[in-house]
Amino acid sequence: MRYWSLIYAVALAVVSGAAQESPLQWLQRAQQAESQRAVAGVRVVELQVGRTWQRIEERFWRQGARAERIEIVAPAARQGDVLLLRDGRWVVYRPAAKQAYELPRVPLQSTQLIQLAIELAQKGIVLAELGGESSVAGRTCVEVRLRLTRPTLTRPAASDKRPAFPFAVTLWLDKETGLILRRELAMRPSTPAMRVEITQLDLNPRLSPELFTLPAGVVVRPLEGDYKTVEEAQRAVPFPIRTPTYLPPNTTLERVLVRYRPMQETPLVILHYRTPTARFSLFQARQRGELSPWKPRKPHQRLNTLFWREGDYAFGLVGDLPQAELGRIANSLRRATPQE
Amino acid sequence: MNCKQYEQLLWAEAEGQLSPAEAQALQAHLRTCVHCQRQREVVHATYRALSMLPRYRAPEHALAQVKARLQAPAQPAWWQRWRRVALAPALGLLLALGWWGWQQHSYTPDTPTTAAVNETEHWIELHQQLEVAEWSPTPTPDYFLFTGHSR
Repeated sequence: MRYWSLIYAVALAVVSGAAQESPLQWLQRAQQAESQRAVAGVRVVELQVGRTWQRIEERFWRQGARAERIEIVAPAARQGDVLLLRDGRWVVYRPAAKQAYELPRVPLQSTQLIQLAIELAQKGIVLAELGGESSVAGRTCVEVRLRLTRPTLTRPAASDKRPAFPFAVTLWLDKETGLILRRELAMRPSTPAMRVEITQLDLNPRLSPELFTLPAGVVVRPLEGDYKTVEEAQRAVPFPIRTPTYLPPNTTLERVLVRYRPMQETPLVILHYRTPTARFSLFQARQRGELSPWKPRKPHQRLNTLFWREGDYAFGLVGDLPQAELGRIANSLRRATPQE
Repeated sequence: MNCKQYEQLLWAEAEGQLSPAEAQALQAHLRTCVHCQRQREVVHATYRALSMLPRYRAPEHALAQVKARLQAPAQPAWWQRWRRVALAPALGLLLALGWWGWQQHSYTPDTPTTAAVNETEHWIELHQQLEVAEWSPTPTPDYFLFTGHSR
């Protein structure tokens, strides 16, 4: 009897200890687990794009934060594509191909996301709360909810080079290991913009070094289309890229993308900007042939939009900025006459 | 062939009824038409959902009952006595609806208005992809920004 009482007391202490852990302590556990544990499994990524959800299913093998291999299962058109994290860079290749492409950007790793969340929570910019327990991939998880205390302030300082924190992030942490098994992310007060869920988890995988090695003879090339400056992108674009002369204070240019489009001779140029409170994209393309007047769409997912045409060129502004600010940017762009 | 005709082929494709020539033509079109790529995803999702519905077998005597009713002399119902009178306005209404429907749907994505609308919607989608891609624990969404989700 005494023996059972002792076990009960120890179990109670463990359970109450776990329950008393603060959200920040859970985040620290998650950070440690994500940076060190070797795991494998299957995860599903869902992105809200327009009115539909894009679904990506992928197998993954991960050696902490150091190395990772991903094989795409769905969509079918991309099935079999392999993405490898090696030396801090991601490369992608098809199994039979002799060329691999280096992705221009490395997305924020889970450890970096958690670190950012901890820092912002300590500064009172992000509120961290514990939710209830639920099951993900057959394992008990603790829900940690993170949301901006002041939705208008998404970055602690304009000089901060890290991405602005989303409006809300919910993490489902494995109660035993601290690993993130599910996450939901909302960019603004509406439905989540992204869901990532591990559907199969192997906590003791055999990870051979070959898993994280490119096949012999495969040559790595840069995946073109993502540039740091407009000047770099201009070399790939046959028309002069226009840049606005007016931008809101503390606006930074985050990405310059050049996308080739089916049925169009010239590419689409996207300048993606960030302000301390919002982000927006400027689109420009040369549209050949007759086009009817450019009709603005109704507000979409609380995004503000502005579309217009000038001669052979089509322009668009999409983002969280107030409509009046989009108008000012557009006016400054109209004054910036292209030099052909 | 225009997009409307290709949409017909999408259903045949989902059912595995396409000839090799039709399949080749459809694939060639899908490589260049965003509108039909989306339609294809919708058609396939609908077909999958329909395939998963439970199937019920009709009772054994159902066929005999239908045959017996078909052979029995028909009693004209009240509405059958009035149908000649109602035929003219009904036809008029049908024509009006048909004309309205044709006005609503007589486009292909290659016509200027639709291309413009598709393009703006596509830009909004690209902005949304850019927003969330950097928060994804996997680089796949960023990879699809360049290569497309389904093409």
